[in-house]
Amino acid sequence: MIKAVCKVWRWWLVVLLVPLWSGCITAEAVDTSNQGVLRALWQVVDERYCFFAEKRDSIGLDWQAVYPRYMAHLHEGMTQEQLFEVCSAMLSELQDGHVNLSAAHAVSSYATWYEAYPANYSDSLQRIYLGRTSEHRVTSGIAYRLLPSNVGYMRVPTFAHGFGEGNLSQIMQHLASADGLIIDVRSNSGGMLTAAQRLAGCLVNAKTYVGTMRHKTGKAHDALSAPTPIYVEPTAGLRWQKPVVVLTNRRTYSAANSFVAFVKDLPHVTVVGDHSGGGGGMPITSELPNGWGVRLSSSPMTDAQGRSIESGISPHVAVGISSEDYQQGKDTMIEVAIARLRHNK
Amino acid sequence: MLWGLCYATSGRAQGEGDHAQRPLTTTHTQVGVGVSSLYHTYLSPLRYAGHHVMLHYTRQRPTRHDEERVHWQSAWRGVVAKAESPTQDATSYQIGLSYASRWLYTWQPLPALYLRAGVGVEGHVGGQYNNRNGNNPAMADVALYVPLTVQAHYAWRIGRLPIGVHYQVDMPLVGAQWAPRYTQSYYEMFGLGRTRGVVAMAWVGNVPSWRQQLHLSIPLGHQRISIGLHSDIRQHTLRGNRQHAWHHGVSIGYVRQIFTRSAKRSEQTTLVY
Repeated sequence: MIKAVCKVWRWWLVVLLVPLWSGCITAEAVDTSNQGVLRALWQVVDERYCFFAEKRDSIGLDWQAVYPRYMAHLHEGMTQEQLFEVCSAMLSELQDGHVNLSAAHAVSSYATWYEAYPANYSDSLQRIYLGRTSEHRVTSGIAYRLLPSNVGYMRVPTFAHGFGEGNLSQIMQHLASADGLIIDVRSNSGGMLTAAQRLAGCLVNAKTYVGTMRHKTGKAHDALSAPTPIYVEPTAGLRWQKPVVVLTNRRTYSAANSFVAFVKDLPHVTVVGDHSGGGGGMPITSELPNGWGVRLSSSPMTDAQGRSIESGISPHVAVGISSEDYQQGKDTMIEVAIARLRHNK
Repeated sequence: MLWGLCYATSGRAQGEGDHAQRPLTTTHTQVGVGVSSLYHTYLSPLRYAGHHVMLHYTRQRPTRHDEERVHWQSAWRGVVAKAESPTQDATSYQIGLSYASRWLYTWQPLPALYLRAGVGVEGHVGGQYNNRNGNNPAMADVALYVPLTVQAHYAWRIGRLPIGVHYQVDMPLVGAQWAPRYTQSYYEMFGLGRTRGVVAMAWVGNVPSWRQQLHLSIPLGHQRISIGLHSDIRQHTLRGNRQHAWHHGVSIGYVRQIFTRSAKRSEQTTLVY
């Protein structure tokens, strides 16, 4: 009996000694030192950020030179908040509003893309046009009404709500008698691209090519996929056939910026306002060894002509809110839109 | 699941000439718990550590081929895992369900030792979700493999107590694996319809995965229970992303024999597997 067991254990030892009880694809060692955190941040951007070529041409970005420059800012005894400041400053080199660093105490983001420009949007003025709560309707975050000038007005403050075709069809029906439609996406910082596509679907009668999206295929800065075409499909319900004005400002960003790109070339659409904010790269999320989160653009988009929309989109008609109009309780941009739609009636 | 194999094997060992009890089917149901390590660079560069619960069901029987030396085994396996980031401020969940159908050939190098090896087909569906991510919150895990399976079973007695030791390892040899490119978003795949090329060829070089189980079977009254260890190493390096889902743990199970021809209970309970 014992002899038999011993013989068998030879077999079992062979099996057990084979190092099959642990894997071979492992994560890199975690370095939670200040240097380790800064290096991990620089590295994740280096490997996954998608706009290096564009930023090199537009702002002279040299990401390789950034690393030693900011590493030199680190010193012994630096607090986490101080490290956060250094890391945030390093990310600001990208000049990309989609790039954020988030910690327990703060979220950093590059805001010069809108802070350096007039707001061109006022809650107070918008309240004058929308009227009291009883004077307008709200569905899935979209406020809308028929203005006294017989122009439809839709305020779309975000694309974070997944409004459906039923919602949009109801809006179209309510505004059907209007001479034209204003879609106000000023200070809309984005949300879901699918929501932007759906809203654009109210303005087309056939499947329409509106742009492209690519993605990183590897760590190299130029490792980008072939473009994937983006199409807008017409919504199943009522669709708008009359003239449309889309209002934009510098805070029209991300999915809202993409919405502008989707509809700008449609024949009955006019974009009025300020240059949009941009944000033409779908962001992804990653994290650092100390638990901080980092978000960065990784899928660049273009409009139908193949132009990058990362730096925003120029309006057909550039206009801002004048001080005189503001003091008189008028939104210059809405007034220009109304005049244009009335003129095209 | 290997356990079921043990049972079947021992049954064969015990009653080589007893065709009245053949063929028999052995099922093995087991539940296990243990530690997990989750890592997927599409979601995070950090390794998450946590725990899992595993449920495994195996069915094995000898076929009529080559004097019953060829066994057929089918196996269902489900795993649910939860793991935390190193700084405990993010959570990742993993779920996986697989089914395998295998054909194994039997060798008997020693009177009480049975070795089996063979191939089959295994399908896997599942995915991993990270609760802190935005546009890349999850990664599906869908695959179809031809796995290699090696099984060893040894049966002996301690006094009058029939004990079985059973070991099985399964390893994908070749197949296809869901593998989006590096940072390709699910919006691009399903919102824009770019699904072409998201399935990659898998082989042991880029999907070095294996699953092991080591069990003891012990009689308990007229039944048999199993206790053992399991190790599930599932990993790949595809399209610039690296992934692993490691599960190690202990399991307890219940073995049941089904005789397709008449067999007396007294004969069953003396079987060693």
